[in-house]
Amino acid sequence: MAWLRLAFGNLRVNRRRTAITLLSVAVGVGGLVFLWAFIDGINAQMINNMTGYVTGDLKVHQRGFHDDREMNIALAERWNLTEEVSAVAGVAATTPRVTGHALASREDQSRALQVMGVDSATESRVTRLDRSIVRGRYLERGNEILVGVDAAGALDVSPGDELVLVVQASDGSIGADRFEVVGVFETGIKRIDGFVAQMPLAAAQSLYAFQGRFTEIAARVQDADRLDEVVGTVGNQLRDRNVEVLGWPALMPSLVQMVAFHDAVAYIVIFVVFVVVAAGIVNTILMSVLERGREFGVMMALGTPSSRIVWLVLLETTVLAGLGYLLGLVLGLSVTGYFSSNGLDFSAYIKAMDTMPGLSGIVYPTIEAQRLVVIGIVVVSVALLAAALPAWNAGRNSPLEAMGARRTMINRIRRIHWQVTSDHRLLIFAQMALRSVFRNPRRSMITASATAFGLAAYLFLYAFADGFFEQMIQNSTQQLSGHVQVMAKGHDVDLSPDLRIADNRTLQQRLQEHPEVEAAAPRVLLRAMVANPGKSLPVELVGIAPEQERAVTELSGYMQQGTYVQSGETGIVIGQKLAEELGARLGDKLVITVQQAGGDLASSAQAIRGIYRTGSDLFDTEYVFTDINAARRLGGLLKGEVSRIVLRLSDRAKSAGLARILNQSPLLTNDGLVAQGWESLLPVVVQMVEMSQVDFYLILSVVFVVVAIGVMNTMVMSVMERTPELGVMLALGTRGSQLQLTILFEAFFLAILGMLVGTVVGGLLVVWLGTTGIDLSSISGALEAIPGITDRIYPVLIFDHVWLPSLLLFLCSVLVALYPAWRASRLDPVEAIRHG
Amino acid sequence: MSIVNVEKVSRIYRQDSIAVKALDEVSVAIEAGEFTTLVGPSGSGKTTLLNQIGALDEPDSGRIQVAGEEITGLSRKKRTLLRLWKVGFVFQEYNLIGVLSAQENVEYVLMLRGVPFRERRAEARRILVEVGLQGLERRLPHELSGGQQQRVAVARAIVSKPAIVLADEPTANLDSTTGAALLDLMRKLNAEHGITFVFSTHDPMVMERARRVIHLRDGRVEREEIRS
Repeated sequence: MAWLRLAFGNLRVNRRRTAITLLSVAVGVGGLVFLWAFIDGINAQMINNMTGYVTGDLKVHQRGFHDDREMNIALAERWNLTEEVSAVAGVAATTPRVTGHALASREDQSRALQVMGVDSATESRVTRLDRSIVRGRYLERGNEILVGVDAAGALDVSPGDELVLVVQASDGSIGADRFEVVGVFETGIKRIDGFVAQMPLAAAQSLYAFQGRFTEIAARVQDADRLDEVVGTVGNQLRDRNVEVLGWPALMPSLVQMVAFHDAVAYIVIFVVFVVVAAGIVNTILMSVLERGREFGVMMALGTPSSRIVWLVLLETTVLAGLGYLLGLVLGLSVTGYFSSNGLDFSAYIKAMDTMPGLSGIVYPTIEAQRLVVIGIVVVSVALLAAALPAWNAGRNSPLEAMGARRTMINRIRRIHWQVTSDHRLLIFAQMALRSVFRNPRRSMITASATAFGLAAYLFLYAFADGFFEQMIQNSTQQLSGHVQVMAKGHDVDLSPDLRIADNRTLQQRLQEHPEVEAAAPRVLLRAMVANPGKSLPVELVGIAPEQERAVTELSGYMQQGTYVQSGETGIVIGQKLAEELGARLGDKLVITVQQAGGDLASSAQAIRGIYRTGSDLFDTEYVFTDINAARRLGGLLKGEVSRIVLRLSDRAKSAGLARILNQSPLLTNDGLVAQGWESLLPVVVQMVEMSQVDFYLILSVVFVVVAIGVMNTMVMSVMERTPELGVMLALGTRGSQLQLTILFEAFFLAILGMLVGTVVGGLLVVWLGTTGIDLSSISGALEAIPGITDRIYPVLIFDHVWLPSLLLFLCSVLVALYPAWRASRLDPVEAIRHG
Repeated sequence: MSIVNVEKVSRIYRQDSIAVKALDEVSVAIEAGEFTTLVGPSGSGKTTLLNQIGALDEPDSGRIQVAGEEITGLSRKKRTLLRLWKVGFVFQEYNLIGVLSAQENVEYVLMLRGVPFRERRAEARRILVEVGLQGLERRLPHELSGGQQQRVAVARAIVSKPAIVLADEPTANLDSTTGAALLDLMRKLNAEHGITFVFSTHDPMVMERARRVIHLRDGRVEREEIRS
C-alpha cells in the first residue's frame, strides 16, 4: 500500500510527464477502439442485414434441399413443422416459405429475380422487409408482388403495374403468370433491392406448382449468440423427421467467408496499427523512465533495493497505463458512439460495398466488449515491457552511476567534427539542431522511430491494397472485360438484344486500325435463365467468336474439363460453380431461356461441352459461353449483328483515352454507339479501389494521430530534458523565436531520419512480400467472392499513391514540434536553469 | 558613474500560499569597473539580486537601471535584448551549451549579435588564449575539466564586452586552487579591460579578492565593506 501511495505520489509530482504518458496511451487506445469497432460494424451489418431482411437466423428444409436446391425436395404443409419449431425453446418466431427463381419481364425489359413466397402474417416476425417499403404497401393476397427499388427501376415498374414471371415449376414445366406490383422496398443493399422479390405464399405455390408444400421454414432466435444451441435443439426435436436444420452460417457460407476475409484484412490492419500504437507508448515510457536515472540513484543511495525500484516503476507504469487505457476508452467510445448513432457515409462507393453481402452505404461501428479487453491487455503489457528494461537497467547501476545518469547521458554526446562557420543565423541554428540530434542517439532514435513505424506501416498497408487491386484489375480485364468495349448506347445498363451493332465486321476492322489496339473480338450478350429439370438460375449468356476471343481474353486458359467454345459448333461452356449449383456434369443438357429482340421468349437445350474455373465464385456462377452464331439465333439477332466489340490494348492505362477518342469519332457517333474503358465496365473494381482509399484515409488518420502524439510527446520529453540548457540560451540573449527555430529544425532532422528508416524498413518489407506473396489461402473461399482475386496477394508499391500521405506524415512529424518549441520559448530562464 | 542602480527593490516569491520575501527594499549602486561581491548565507537574496540586475527576473517593486537604461517594466523581448547587449553571465554549474565546442560557446553571443564569422572567431580565439585555454578551442564541454569549463564560461561572458558581468557562485563547484586561479583571471580581466564584475558567493577566497563586499541577510543589505 505504501508503495502504491509512493507511485501515485510520483505521478502527481511529475504532472507534465504523467500527462504526456497518459495522452500517448489514451490516443493509442482510442484509435484502436474506433478502428476495431468500425471493422466489427461492417461485419455485424453484413450479418444483421442478410439475416434480418431475407434469410432469418435458421431454416428447416427437407433433407438434401440445401445441397441440391431442387424444388421437389420439399416440406409438406400437413407436417405442421412451423408450429413445432415455434414451440422450441429459444425460437422467437417461424414462417413458412416457397423460394425459387424467375425471369420477370415487362414490355421489352426483363430481369432474373429470386422469388420468396411468404406468409405475410408471420414473415414480418422473422424478417423486416415489410418495414422497408418506400412506395405502395406490403403483400396481402392474390397475385401480388413486392420488388426492390433497383429491380423496379430496371423493369420500369411502379405500384399498380404488372409483371410477367416465367419460372421453371417444381414438375419441370415452364410456369408463367401475371403479378401486380403492390409495393417497392429499399434496404440500401443492392443484392436485395435489385434481385429479391416477395409474393404471397399461396401465389408462389401456384406459380411453382407447389401446392401443399414449402421449400423451407425460416425462424428467428431470441438470442443471436445462442444460435448454435437453438439449431441443435431444433435438430433434436425434429430428429425423427427427414429434415435438415441450418443456422445462417451454414446457409450463407459466402457471408461467413466474406466476414472471415474482412476479419483477416482487419487483423492485418489492426496488427499494424497495434505496432504503431505500441511504438508510441514504448517511446514515451522509455523516455520517461530514462529521464529518472538521478532519482533512482538517490533512492538507491538511501538504501532502496534495486528490486524495489523496478517494482515501483512497474507499479507506476501499471497505474499510468491503466489510467491511460480508461481515458482512451472514454475517447474511443465517445468517437465510436457518435458514429454508431450517425453512421459513416460510404454511399458514394455503393457498388464496392455491394461486393460485401448485406452492406448498405452507411456503416455503423459496433463496440464489442472482448475487443476492449484485448486492447487493454496488450496496451498494459506493452507499457510494462517498455518500462521493465530501463528500470531493470537502472536497478543494476550503482547509486553513484545512477545519480550521474545525466552526466552519462552527456558523455554519450558524439564528437562532432564539423564547425559552426556560417554567417547566417538560420544555418547556425540548423547546425545546432543537427548536433542535438547526434548528441543523444538513443533519444533521437526513439523520437524518429515513431515516424519510422508510422511510415513503414503505411507503406506496407498501401502496398498490400495496391497489390490486391492490381491483381483484381489484371485478372478481371483478362478474364472477361478486355480493356475497351464498343456497344450501342444504353447496353451497359440494359442487356437487351435490341441494343446491337449492325455491322460488326467493318467496325471491327476500323477499330483495329488504332495503333493502341492489339486485338478485337465480337460478342453477343443475353440475359438468360439456365435450368436443369429441378432447378433454374439466372446467368449472362456470352456468344463469342473463339479464335478472335482468344486474342482478347484468356478464358480458354481456365478450362477444367471438356473443351473451349468451338466455332460453328453448338454447346455451352459453364463455370464450375454453376455446374455444382445445378448438379450438372460435362455432356449434360441444360435449358437456356432468353428474351429475344422484340420481347419474345426463346429456349434451347444445349449440352455442356466444357467447364471452366477462374477461382472467382461470382464469375464462375454468372457467365455461360457459347458460339456467337448460336447466341445470335437464340437472341433473334441477324447475321453480322453483335452486342459488343471487345478490344485488347497494348497498354491498359490507355483505355480511358482511347474510349474518349472513339466517343468523339463519327465511326461510333453516327451509329449511336459508345466506347467504354475497363474503368466504366468494371465499376465494382474501380469503386473497391476508391473505397479502399477512403478506408485507408481513415486508417491513416488514426496512424497520423498516434504518430503525431508520439512524436510530440518525445519532443516534449526531449525539451524537458534540456530545460537548463535552453534556460542558459535564453539568459545569454537568445530570442524565443530563435529557440523555437532550433527545436523545429531538430524535429525536421528527426522526421527526415524517421522517414529514411521508415522507407527502408517499409520498402524492404514490401519488396520481400512482393516476391514471396502474402498467402491468404486459409480464407480463399472468401476471396472467391471478389472478382479477379486469387489466394496469394503480392504487395506493390505505387509511388503516385504513397508520396502525398508520406509527405503529410513528414510535415505532421515536424509541425507537432510547434508545441514543445513554443513551450521552450516561454521558459522562465531563472526557473529553467535552477530546476531543469 | 553608476553602471547599476538598484533602488528599493523588493521581490516576493510565493510557495504554497506562503509569501517569502527574497529582497526587501534593497538599494545598491555599482560603479563602472568595480569588482563587487554579494555575500550572505543561503536565502539571503544574493542570487535573486543578481537575477534582477541581469534582467532575468522582475521586481515586485522598486527600480533598476543598468548602463543607464531603466529595466523594470521592460517587455520580455526587450529584456532579452538587454541581456544580449549589456550583460554577461557566469553560472555556478558552468552551463555551457553541450553541442557547441569551447570556441563556439564563446562565439555564441557574438553570433547572436550578428558579428561576422571571421571576426567572431578571431575574437573568441583571442579571449580563449587570454583565459589560458589555447589548444582546447575545439573541445566539447564534456571533454573539459570543471575549471576549464568555467574559464570558457568567463570567456563567453566577457567576449562581447558587456557593461557588466554577473557571476553566481562561480567557484562553488571548483577546488580551491582552480577557484583561486579563476578569480585571479577575472580580476586580471577587470583590471586590464575595466569590465565590471558582480559575484555572489559564500567563498572567503572570493571575498578576499573583492574590492567591495556587500553583505546581505534576509533580503536586506546588512552592511558594506570597501577594501583597498
